Amino acid sequence: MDRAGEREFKSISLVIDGKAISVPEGTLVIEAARMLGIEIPYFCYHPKMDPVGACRMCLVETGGRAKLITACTTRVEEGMTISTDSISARKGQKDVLEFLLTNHPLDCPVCDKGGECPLQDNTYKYGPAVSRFTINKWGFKKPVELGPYILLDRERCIMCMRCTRFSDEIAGHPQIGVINSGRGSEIGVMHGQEFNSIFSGNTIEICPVGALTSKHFRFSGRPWEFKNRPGICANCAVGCNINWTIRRHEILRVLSRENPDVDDGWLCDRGRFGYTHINSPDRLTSPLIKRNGGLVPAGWDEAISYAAQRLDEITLKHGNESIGGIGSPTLTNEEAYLFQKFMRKVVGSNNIDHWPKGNGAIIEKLFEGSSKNDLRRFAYSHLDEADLIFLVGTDISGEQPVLDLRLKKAVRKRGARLIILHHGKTDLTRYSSPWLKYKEGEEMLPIELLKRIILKGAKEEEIEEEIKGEAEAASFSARLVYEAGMALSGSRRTVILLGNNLPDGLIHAMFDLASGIIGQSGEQRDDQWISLGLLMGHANSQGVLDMGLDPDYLPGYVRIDLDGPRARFETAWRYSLPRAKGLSADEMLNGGNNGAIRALFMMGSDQPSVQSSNNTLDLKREGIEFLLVSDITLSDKARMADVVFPSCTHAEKDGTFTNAGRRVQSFQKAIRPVGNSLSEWQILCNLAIEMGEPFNYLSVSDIMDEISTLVPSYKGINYPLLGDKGIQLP
Amino acid sequence: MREDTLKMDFAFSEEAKREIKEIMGHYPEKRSALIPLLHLAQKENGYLSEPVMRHVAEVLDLTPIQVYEVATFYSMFHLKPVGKYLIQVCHNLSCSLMGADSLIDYLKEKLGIDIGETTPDNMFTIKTVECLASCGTAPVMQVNDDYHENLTKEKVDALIERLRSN
Ligand code: SF4
Ligand code: SF4
Ligand code: FES
Ligand code: FES
Repeated sequence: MDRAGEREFKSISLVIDGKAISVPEGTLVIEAARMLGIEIPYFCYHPKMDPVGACRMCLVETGGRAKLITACTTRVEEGMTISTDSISARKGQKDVLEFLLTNHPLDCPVCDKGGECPLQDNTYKYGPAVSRFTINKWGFKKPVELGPYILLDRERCIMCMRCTRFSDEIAGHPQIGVINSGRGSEIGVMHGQEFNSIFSGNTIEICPVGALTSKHFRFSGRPWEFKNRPGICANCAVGCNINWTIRRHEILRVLSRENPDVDDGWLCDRGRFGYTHINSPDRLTSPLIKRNGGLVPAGWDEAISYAAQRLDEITLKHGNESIGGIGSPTLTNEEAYLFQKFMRKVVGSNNIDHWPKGNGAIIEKLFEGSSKNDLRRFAYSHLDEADLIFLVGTDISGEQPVLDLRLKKAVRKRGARLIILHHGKTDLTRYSSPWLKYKEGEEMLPIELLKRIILKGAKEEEIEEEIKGEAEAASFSARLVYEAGMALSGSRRTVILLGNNLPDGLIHAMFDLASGIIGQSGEQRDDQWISLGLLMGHANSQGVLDMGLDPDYLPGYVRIDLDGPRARFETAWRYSLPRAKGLSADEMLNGGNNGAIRALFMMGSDQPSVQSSNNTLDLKREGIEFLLVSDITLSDKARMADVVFPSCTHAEKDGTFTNAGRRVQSFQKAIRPVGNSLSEWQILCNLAIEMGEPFNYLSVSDIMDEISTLVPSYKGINYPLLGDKGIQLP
Repeated sequence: MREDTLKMDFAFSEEAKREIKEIMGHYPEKRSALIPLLHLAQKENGYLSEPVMRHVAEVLDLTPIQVYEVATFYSMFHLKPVGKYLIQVCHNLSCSLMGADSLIDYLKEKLGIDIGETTPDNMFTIKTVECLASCGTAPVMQVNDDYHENLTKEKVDALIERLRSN
C-alpha cells in the first residue's frame, strides 16, 4: 500500500526505441513509453486499474530476453532496453491480433463501436490483413441483457476483463464476472441477478470492442455523424465533466470527459443516462398564458409584457414585499445572481430564496469567522491525501455517486481509514471502521461523546457510563466511539464530510470539534490538517447560495440587514436595497404566509436532479394572485401558473455551476435551444427591461464579470480562466 | 435423482459448519476458503445448484457471481446433478494423439448420451477434461476417484459392464 508522500520514489533509467528516459520506480513499461510519446497497442491495460495481462496486445521486445514481454504488466528495470517496433515485437503484436480475431465477428458495419473502436484501430495499424484461421467463428444468441442499461454481444468480446475489473476494483460492485474457462469463457451475471450497479455504464465506455452496448444508444447512429461537445452533468452536485454526443441538435449519449479533480473519468448511471428530458417531446416550445382557465401559447413579447404588467399592478396594489421569487438549484450562477438582483432591485423585495435548500449557509458563516489555516475548506482532491475520512450523516453513494468512487479509491487502494456516523447502512458502511450507528435524529449524542473524548480526554470507562442511559439512541458501544475518537485525534490528514440536511446544532458541533482538534496540535504536528465540507444536494446548490438566492444573504453571504457590507451592493447596483428580511421558500410556498405573498415567480426546472430526490414541492395557490413559472416542461408548478416561460436545459445554454467541492465549472451551449425556449438569464434581462430596468447583459460572461467584482470568493474568475477544468474556490 | 439435489434452499449440515470454521481458520481472508467450501457443499448436495452457490457466497461475504466464476472455471465442480459414476475423459494433447476422440465417441454411443449428460438411470455422466497428468498411459479417463489407463474399447466395455453390475 503506497501512501502519498510517505515513500520516496527511486528513479529508474531505461531506453525505449532508442530514447532514454528516467521514470519513478514501479512505473509500467507501457506508461514509460507513453511519457516518451511512444504508442504501444493495448486492450486490457487501463491506467486506473491493476494490470492483468489478459489480452497480450502490448507485446514488446526487451534486450536480453528471448520471449516478448507484456508492457502493461512489466515494471521498469534499471538499464532496460525496450523495442516496441522491432521485427519480432511487431510480429508478436500482429499474431496476437490474428488470435483475437479468430472468433471476433468483424461485424463493424452494424456495430455501435465501429468508428471509435480500439480493436478496429489496432487491427488497422498493427494487425494482419488476412487471417489464416478458416474455421467457423463462434456464434451466440444475442444479445444478453446484463442489467437495466447494458446489453452484451458475447461473440464480440475479447476477454480483456476491463468490465469485470472495473465493477470490482473501482465500483466495489462485483456483479459481473467471467463464466467458464478457456475458449468457453464469457462475461455474465449469475442467474436471477443483474448488473445494476449505479456505475454500470462506465463499462460500456471502457469496453475496447462493441461487446457492451447501451440499450438507450444502441443502433442510433454512426460516429462520423456525431459531434462530441463538452458539458457538465447536472444530475447531482458532484459536477462530473461530460461530453454530449450530438447529432443535428439532438443529444444521443453522454460520455465521460475526465477531470482528475472532479470525476476521475467516471460517471454514474444517473448522469450517463439521465439526459432524456432534454430532447423530450414534453419540452415547452413557446410561452403560455392562462386564458379562460387554460394555458394557451403566446409570443414572447406578449408573455413578457403581460407578466411585467401583472407584477407592476400587484406591486402598486400590495407593495413590493407582496412579491416573492423561488429559484431552483439547477439555475446557473449567472442566473441565480441575476434572479436575486432582479428581485431585490427591480421588484424591490428580499423575498428571494431557492428550493429545495440545504443547510450550507451555516458552514459558510462558520468558516468566515475562523482564521485557522489548517482547517481547510473541502475540495475533492483532499480525499486523495487523507489518512482518515469521517462521514457524518451523509449517504454519498446515493447522493453524490461519483464522489463515492473517490472515497473507495482512498480506502481500498490507499488504505485510508473510514469512519461513518450514520443511522442507516450505506454502500460505504462495509468499509467503515467503525460505523457508529445512531437512531435517526439523535446524531448529537455521538458527536458530544467524541468531543468529550478528543477535547476533554474522557476515558473509555466514562463514555461507557454515559452511554448506559442512552442505550436507546445508540447502537454502538463505548469501545467504538472511543476508537473513533482516538483515530480522529491521532490522524494527520483528515477529511470530514457532513450531510446536507443536518440540524444547525450538529454542524456547529462538528465545526467546533474540527477546530478543537486543530487547536490541540502542538508544533510537532504542524503538518496536520482537517478538511471540512458540507455536501450540497443539487447541481448548483452551492452556487445559488453563493449568489445570494437567499432571503438573508446578498451574494457572498453578505447579511442583508447589515448596513455596512450592504452598501457595497448599493453602490454597485446604484440602488438603495430593501432592508426588511425576506421570506424563506417554505414560507412563500406555504400559502404565501397569510396572504403576504400575492405574486410568486418560480424560476427554473426541477429536472434533472431535484425530481429524482425525495423532495416534493407543496405549492399552495390560495392567496397567490399571479404565479409566474419558468420551466422546461409543463411540470406541476407550471400547470398551476398564470404565465409560463419556456426555458432551456443546461445543454442549450452557457453558464457556470459550483459543485459540492466548491469548484466553479463552465459549460457552453451544446445544441440550439428547443423551440422558442430561452435561458433564464435571457428571460430575466427581457423582463427587467420591460419593467424599466436596463439589464443590458449580452452574455453570461458579462454577468460573471459583475459577480467577480462583488463576490470575494469569485474574485478574478472569468470564462477564459475557467477553461475546461474549472476553478477551485479558496 | 437424489432427494436433496432437488431442494431449493441449501444449508450446510452441523458437521459441515464445524468443518467450515476450521477451514476458515487457515486463511487470512474469508474469500480464500471458497474452493474448499465448494467441495464441501458439493459433497453435501451432490452438485452446486444455484441456491448452494448463493449460500456459499453469503457465508463468505461474496457476491453470487464471484462464486459462480470459480464454480464454472473448474471441471471438478458440477453445476448439474451427476450420475453415480462420473466419467471424466481426458481430451488434451497426449490423449488426443492416442485416440481420445474416438474413445469419447465410443462412450457416447455406448451410453447413449452426449458430453455433460447423465444416463436416464442416473448411473453415468460423461465429461471431457484437460490433462489428467498421466500422459504416459494415454488415453486416460477418471471414473469418480479412480484412473483408468491405456484405454481400449475392450477395456471400456469391461469397465462399464463391471460398474453396471455393482
Ligand atoms: S465485454 Fe468488453 S470490457 Fe468486458 S471483457 Fe469483453 S471486451 Fe473486455
Ligand atoms: S455523480 Fe452526479 S454529477 Fe457525476 S455523473 Fe453522477 S449524477 Fe452526474
Ligand atoms: S494490454 Fe498488456 S496484456 Fe493486455
Ligand atoms: S493429455 Fe491426457 S493425461 Fe495428459
